Amino acid sequence: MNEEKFNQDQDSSGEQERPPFLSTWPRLYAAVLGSLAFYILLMLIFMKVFA
Amino acid sequence: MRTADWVVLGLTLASIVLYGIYKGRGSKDIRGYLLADRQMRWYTVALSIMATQASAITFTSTPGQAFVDGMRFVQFYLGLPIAMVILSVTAVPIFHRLNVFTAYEYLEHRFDIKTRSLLSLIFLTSRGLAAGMTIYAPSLVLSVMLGFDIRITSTVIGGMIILYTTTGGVKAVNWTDVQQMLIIMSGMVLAFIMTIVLLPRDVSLNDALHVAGSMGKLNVIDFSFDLSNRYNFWSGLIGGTFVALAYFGTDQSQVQRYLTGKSVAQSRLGLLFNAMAKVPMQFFILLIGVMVFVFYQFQAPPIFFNPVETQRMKTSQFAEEYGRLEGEYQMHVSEQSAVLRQYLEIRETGSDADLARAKAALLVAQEESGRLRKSAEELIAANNGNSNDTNYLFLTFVMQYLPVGVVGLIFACIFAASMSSTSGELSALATTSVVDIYKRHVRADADQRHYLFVSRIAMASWGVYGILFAQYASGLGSLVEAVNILGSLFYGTMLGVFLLAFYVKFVTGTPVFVGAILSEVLVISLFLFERAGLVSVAWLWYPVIGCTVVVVTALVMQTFGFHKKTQAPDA
Repeated sequence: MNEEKFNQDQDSSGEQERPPFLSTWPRLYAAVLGSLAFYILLMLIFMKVFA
Repeated sequence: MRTADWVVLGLTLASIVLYGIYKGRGSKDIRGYLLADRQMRWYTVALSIMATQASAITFTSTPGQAFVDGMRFVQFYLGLPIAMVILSVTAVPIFHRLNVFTAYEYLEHRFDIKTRSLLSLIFLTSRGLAAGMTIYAPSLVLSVMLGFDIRITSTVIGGMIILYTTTGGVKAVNWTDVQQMLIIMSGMVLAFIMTIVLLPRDVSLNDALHVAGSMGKLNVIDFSFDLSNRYNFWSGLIGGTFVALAYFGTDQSQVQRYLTGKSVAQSRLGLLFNAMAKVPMQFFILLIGVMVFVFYQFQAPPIFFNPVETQRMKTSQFAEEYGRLEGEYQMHVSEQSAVLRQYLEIRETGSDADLARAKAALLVAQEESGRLRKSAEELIAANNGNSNDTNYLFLTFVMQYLPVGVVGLIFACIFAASMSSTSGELSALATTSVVDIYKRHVRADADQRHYLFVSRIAMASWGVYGILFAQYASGLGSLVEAVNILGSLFYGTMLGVFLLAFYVKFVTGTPVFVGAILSEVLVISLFLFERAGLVSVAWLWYPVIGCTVVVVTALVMQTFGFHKKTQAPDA
């Protein structure tokens, strides 16, 4: 994707901007929240294994 | 510290200052000086956000906290990714579109001048106190550990920051933040590796983690719901979200970091990177503390880690009793070490019943060493000393056991962390002072050269104030702690105002203004009642309460009488 185009703020909500590695912002937000759930799961396993 | 350590420390600090001055050159107006011309890429924004949040105390006290209290503190950061997503969706596009210098400037667009001014003053008060503490706390720790007067350490830290922030402005702050974050992370990784290398030959990392787990230090997640319990899953997820929303959405020291992003996308990516990296980073720093704890199970630790307080005890009226406690503690620790080795042997070969018995014996031994440490702390408190040594635990380990050169690097990390958070705060304080107060209320018609000059003066003045605060804070005694906490009592109010601004279109300025004042009165009263022992509410809930009071008051007032319409162009 053209970087300049990517950096342009295309509308007021910014929803039309797309990060280069995912197709939409909502998917990126979901990935961030998913990573939080994943971290919590990993920490629970960590606790369980070494308790 | 040996010569090589001083060389590493000196070169690192000099490189930070020179890099800051070099990267910050060329600002011709306040857009360049206070917003870095809005040219920052996402990775600069991300590392700058992380460096500003990570103060020196994060790296001195967090491992110490894990040593004493286990890893439960990591739960405080569980709300952060949620807050980052919310801010990316709402605050970032609004701030960018309005082209504001500060978050409070937006409040005049949305509400009125009095709400903007109130929030600016709340920020200047709370962050002003915090900025003083951000220099004071590490200056004190470093002065104790390096044996210098606090006036020297605070002047060195503050002086270096003033040098590059005053000359280079926010551009210098952001670029040095990146450099400082890289130094900090490399130092922490090295420290973690050393905690593994320094374990006894027959104790593996796996053994060490099992020891930590069986001694209750891997208490990462706690699902029990208890309002007075500072760190559990729920306070972290709910309270932590509110704190992170308030800190990253309303505190200019963070807002300024992502306002420098080249576009909405770059700012958002910076915030989202922080969302992904923060929890693992804190987990890792706490794990270093746990590893230091395990290390000291095989290598007798001092009963108390603050060398200055220990020395004071030895010349006090409690010297004899303290000496007896020290002897008893050393004897007990070597017995505990034997119990621990037995536990590790049984874990390899013994039955479950044997293992349960060995673990129980270990816990009894741990309880006894905890009791002895507590007795020592009580004696220190009775001698009018500071009985909290969490800030000194990690640095004592670093100074006594890490190899030459690495010690200098770890101290460089602590200096770098102190500089990164303080420089972010100073630049935000200067920006708010100039844009929201001076330019708005004192002189609105001056040219760019004048505002640039005033911004530099403001930057230097806040720096000098920080140094002076650090030098005189020692005289405040226990008030210092109160001042530190007081700074965090304003977040709920600020968050409530911004939530109304972003999401509730029909609310106007006056109800929000009244709600903000009411909330502040209530939260400060609650804090005072808590200190007097009349109520028990963990501080993570204060922002939730403050925010709720602002929102409810404004909505009730708006519904029952304040219908005066004002433009709400951005909500």
